[in-house]
Amino acid sequence: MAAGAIQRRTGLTGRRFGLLLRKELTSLEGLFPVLLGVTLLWELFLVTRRPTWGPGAVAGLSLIPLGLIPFWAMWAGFQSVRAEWNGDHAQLLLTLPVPFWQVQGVKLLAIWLQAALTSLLVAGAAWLLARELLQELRVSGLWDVIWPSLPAASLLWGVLLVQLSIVAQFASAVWRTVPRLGGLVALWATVLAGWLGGRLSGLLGYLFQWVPDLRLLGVSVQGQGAQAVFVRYPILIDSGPLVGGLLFALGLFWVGALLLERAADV
Amino acid sequence: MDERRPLATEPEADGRGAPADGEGRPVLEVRDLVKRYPGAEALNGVSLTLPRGTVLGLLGPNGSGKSTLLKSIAGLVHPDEGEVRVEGLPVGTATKARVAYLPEVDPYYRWMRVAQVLEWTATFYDDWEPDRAEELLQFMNLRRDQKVGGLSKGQRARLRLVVTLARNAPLLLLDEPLSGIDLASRARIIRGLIGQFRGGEQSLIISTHEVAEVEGFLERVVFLERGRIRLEGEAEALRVKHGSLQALFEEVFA
Repeated sequence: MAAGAIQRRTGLTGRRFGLLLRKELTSLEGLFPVLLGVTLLWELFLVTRRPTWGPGAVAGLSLIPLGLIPFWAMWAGFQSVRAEWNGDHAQLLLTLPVPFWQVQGVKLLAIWLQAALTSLLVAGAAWLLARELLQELRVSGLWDVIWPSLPAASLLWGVLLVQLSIVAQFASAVWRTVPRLGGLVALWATVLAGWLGGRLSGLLGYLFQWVPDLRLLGVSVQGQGAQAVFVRYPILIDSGPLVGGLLFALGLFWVGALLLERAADV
Repeated sequence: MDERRPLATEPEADGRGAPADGEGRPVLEVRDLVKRYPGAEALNGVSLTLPRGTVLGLLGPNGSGKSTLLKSIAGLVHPDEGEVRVEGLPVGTATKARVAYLPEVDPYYRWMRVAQVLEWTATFYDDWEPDRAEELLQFMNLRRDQKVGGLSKGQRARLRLVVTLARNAPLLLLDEPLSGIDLASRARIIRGLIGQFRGGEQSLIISTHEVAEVEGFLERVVFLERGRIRLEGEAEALRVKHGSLQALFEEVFA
């Protein structure tokens, strides 16, 4: 077949997307297996400590790995660029006939999937341990309070992880783009992105006032033992700035990918 | 060499779209290319045109700008001035589907197996030819189940050749393809290169400072020095005049 007569598709097809995602998920260069392993070991350790430390302490401690996930998301976002450039793999990725934002997008998707998996693992462990506690306290009906808040809480958690990973990926892209003092420029870019993000999310938020507020239910326990009663109170979170913040992050992601594709030398 | 004629078509700036028609159109046009790095000027006003079906040798010592020029064509380095067009298209996503680039470094992941590297390339490039890849794999003495991390430097260099040559791309860019390959195997690999190259359909730029090994294969040569074209011409004419390209290389860069 003549070289010129060959169909030459560009962009991600389903198969290309699958291959890239599989590469991101199975690559052992990330810290994800460590995060997952530490989380699993921690939860299993807490199960063994339950008789000694009591269900209350164990249930609370089971949530600790959640605190690691935002830091991991930032690290993974940063590494999603750094590892490719340091390992000379950027030459492979940047010569693919695919707009680079699509490659970067798959990387972020992999990070979010891994973060979601770890979050589910922690939440599941905490729930199992907390259920035990609730049974011991003979408090019933708490699930009815938690359940309606779960979608909104998960959404907030997701927005936080998405923004952190994108800002970190952007900082790493800036580092690769400038020929000198990359680290310093990346640090400034991060500070600037944070400041600008705060400003613009508020401003963009006005455009999204029509988006319904996120509603969470707060709960406090009054009384003890069989006399314990729940007091519920609503927590309303303005969705406008959240949407604005997400749009800003989307823009940052696009700029970062464009920098790598059109300005960063390999 | 700088013809400065207007470009026949104006495809979209980001490189999308179909290549311009016309069999007579050069596969590659480089015009007034300048690339500066902090403290160094890697390319300084390089212009060249590559007719379809030509084998061009990009010759020069280390640091002459050969790799930077090839990377600019592949879209890995972004020129400060000038322009590059592949089949009439500015460098971008569309030209990446038309250029098979062999880098000097190892771009593959160490955890990948040879089969995964081939699958990767086959998935992303529509001009992949699986039969040709199998043939090349055997020729280069590589097995599909070998892990990239377990390959020797020479084997990794051969794998890069397999991946590049198994594509039926209009333009092949080979950056120091023999680097890392032992002396005993080089002649055989050059024979393989000649055997797989499809003159007429494909054009090839081979960058090297080891001229003697490839000179019989070259049709045109460009000598680069400090980012500038020092000399260019038809290989055969230069061979007749100077005895060999190797002799000319030594004369130019002595």
